[in-house]
Amino acid sequence: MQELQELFEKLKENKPLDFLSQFIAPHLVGDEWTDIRKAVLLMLATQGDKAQRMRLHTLLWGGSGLGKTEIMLWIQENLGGVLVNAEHTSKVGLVGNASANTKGLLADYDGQIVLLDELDKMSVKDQSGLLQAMEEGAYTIVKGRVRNRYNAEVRVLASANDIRKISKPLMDRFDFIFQVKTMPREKRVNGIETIVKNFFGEEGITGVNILKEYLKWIKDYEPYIEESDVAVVVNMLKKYILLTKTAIDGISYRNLELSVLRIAHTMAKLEKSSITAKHIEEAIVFKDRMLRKRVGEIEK
Amino acid sequence: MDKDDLMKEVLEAEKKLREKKKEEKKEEGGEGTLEKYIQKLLKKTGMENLKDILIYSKTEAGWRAWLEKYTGTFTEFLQLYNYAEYAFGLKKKKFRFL
Repeated sequence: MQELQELFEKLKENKPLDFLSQFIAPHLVGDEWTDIRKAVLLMLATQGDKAQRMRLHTLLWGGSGLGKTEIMLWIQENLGGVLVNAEHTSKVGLVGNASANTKGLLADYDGQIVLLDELDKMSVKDQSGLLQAMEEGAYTIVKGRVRNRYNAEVRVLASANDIRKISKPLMDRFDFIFQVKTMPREKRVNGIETIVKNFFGEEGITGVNILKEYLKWIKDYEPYIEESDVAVVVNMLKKYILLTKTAIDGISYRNLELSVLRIAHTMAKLEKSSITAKHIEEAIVFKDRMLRKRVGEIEK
Repeated sequence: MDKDDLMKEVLEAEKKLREKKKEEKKEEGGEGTLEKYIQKLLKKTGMENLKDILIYSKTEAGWRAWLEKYTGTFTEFLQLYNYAEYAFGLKKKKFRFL
């Protein structure tokens, strides 16, 4: 245990987000997975956060067969998330049914990582309950005059084929939204070796147990900010909003300013340090890179 | 610290952790583990015996949904199924997906 402690002390000084994220689903190939792995690691690191709005959520969307479900299965097998698909929820319901007196699946998964496959195929009612759970950590079912509130502190990794079928407020609550695509053939060839080796049973880079232990190690750490740094953070965010070329005008506060703060908070947590300007900068760069791919640049 | 050195150290620690987990599993014992697992299963499902659980749903979809709720992996189910087949003489044709 002492050895692990010493190793973790070294890890936290060596960009743990970059280093540890490479152990997540190492069999998936393509540059885009680098950022997706980081997003997933940040999401995992918010496990145990007491503050309501610190949880991070990720959405992957795109065509079939590109690895969206694959990463969920990997997480379920290695890190203990709960995989739920649309077919399952159509029978049981994510948020239950007041008239049938069922509380729904989300309440069962309180405190866990929920892996939602095919979010776009879920009912409007389930999507709205999910939003409540992602936002408030609980949801309410109303039956006549009786209101039942269920705790559902979940971190969500969802997948979808068509994001037009997901409600705007729900989309808004995902801190990370990635479109998964096929790569151009020049890049595609780089992944072939990994695919072949994996197909024939070679595990690839393995550090999942270390990752799990590290997440336990940081679980109860609560990052703080020095009073003197608050003004710096304010200035950085102001500058970013004014100067970025990313078309952020349609993006809400919740999905931009608050999301950057949540990401920076979690980056600091991963390093077991206080929140500094460096974390804010890294969070802005990460968020902006992802947003630019999604909404593009402003017209000149 | 050099990234390659750090990676070496991490992989070494990972190997040790895996071995430790393997040892722990061994210590828990082979058949005894399955027995404990079945007891846990009965307690969770509220059913009286394993046969009741096994005939509860005969389709793969049913089993998978049920397993998702009460257990974890398909391998565990297969282990359980083999045990049940031995214990109760259940035939595989009942579970066509096998």
